[in-house]
Amino acid sequence: MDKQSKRKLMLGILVATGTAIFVVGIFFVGSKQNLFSRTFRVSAIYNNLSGLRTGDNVNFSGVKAGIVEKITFLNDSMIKVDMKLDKSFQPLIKKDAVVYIATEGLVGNKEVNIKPVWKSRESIEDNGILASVNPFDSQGIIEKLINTNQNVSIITANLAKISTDMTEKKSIFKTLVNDSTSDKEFRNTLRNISTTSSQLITISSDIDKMVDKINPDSGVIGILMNDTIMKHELQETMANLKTSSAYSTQITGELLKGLQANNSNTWSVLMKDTAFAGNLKQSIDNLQQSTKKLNKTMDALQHSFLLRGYFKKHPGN
Amino acid sequence: MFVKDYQLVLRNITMEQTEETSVQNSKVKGLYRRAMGLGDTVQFVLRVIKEAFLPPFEFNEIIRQAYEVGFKSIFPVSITALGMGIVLVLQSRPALVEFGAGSYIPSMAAVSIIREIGPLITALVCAGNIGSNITAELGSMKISDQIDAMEVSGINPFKYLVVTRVISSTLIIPILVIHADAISLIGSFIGANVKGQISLRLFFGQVVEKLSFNDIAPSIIKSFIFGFIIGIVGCYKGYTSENGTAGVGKATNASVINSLMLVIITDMVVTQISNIFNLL
Repeated sequence: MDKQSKRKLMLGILVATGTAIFVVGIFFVGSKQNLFSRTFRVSAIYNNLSGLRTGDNVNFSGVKAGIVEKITFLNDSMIKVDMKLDKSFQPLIKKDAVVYIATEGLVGNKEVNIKPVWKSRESIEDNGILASVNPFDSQGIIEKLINTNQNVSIITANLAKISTDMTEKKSIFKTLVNDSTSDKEFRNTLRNISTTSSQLITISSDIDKMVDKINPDSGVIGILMNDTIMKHELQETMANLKTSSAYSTQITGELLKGLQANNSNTWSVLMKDTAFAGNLKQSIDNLQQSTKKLNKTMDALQHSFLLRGYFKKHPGN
Repeated sequence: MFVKDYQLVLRNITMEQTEETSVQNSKVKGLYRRAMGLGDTVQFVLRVIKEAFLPPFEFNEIIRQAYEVGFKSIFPVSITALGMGIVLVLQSRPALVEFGAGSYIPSMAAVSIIREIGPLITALVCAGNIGSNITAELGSMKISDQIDAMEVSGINPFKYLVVTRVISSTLIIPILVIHADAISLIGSFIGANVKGQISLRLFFGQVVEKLSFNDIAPSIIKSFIFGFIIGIVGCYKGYTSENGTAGVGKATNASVINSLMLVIITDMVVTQISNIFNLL
């Protein structure tokens, strides 16, 4: 091989390898931009792109599907983003998919993400428009945070004012806590409950006696009243009534004792003694249940032809 | 006595005026020389462009020069590019890792090398290697009257010596830049694996992922311009050298310095033009 041929060979190798590297590089970069594959186009409308640029990546469910091809201003507040995507993604991207702009990592470039919704079964057509979500607006969030802080500051000031008012004599709460009138009214209420309970015991005893006096062998009434089921129910009701009344009498008595023994006002007793409060609640619940049952019973008795005469003679009962 | 003093003062004044005039003359001459040189350079460039498109085309000489310029420069260019790739990653890695952006090393290296480091390093090495070689060769031929002899023998020395060298350097430096880019990226991969660990496939996957035609096109265009500048400056300085061997030495030195300066200035201009056309 002469010198000139050797030169040509070496130069040929140099140029060939350089060209090959260039072509391979172009091919890889081009395939990244979907230059050598079948593509389709979709668009999305935004009012803020947050730095998105032509050539940025478009991902579908985190997988790179294409690039941003073109950015066009439709008017002063609407920006159209045209995306060129790989054709193989078209069946996967449905019409209801949502497009949003995100950032690659913390400091990376902007990218467009297509998020599937899985409601629609129709794939997006070529040159279709996808619904867009405006990008993360850090400035807006900071502004909202500032507003929230201001609101918290106002609320804190109001709470402080309320707290101050509560400790002053003229406040309603303070008046309620220190009011001796309400204390007396509460005591009177308890006395009334006690009295009513005693009366209920008396009434229920009378009714019991009347029921016992009815002879089971004396005609239709006796037979009717001797109905074991009805008799049993009546007796049970009376027993409950007695028990409840006795219990309420006992509780109200204890409550009055507690109030007399304690020099402080009624509210402080109620607020400090948790055991007492529990008992009282239980008593009131029992009383409510008994009262309901008694009302039912009394209603039934009033309508009963056996006792209708009695209730006519004593309308006050 | 008084008359003698007066004559002495007059003589001194006259001498000072003569010195001032000579200084002013030398400044004017310097400016004149520079203006002439600039005009001569422009004329030289235009002649090269004109002769390049006129037959006969000295293909064999172009190939020979391409071999001289390209193949003999591949080793220094490769070594420099490999070292730059390794150093670039090793130097930038700590800062990127500190910001939690260690995974950006391949893309950072790719963009830096393809856009800037590859073309610039190749041009600087070639300016020193090829530019000085061309100037020294043509300068020696000039002072030894070989160029005149060529003219006498009916050969167009400008076309045979200058145009072929400018064409070969313009065409071969982009090829060298592509080689330099590839070798520099391999160097970056080596650098990335010196302290970290990343597979070849992942590294070059990320390299390709971040590159676009907007990175490659300005780089290739730039390398053609660098090749043209190196060839033109080398040929001009050699073809116009005078004052014997000392003049050739000065011309070679001026050729390297002017080439380096012009390459860097052109790099700035091309980068700015790319920015204007939204290619960055």
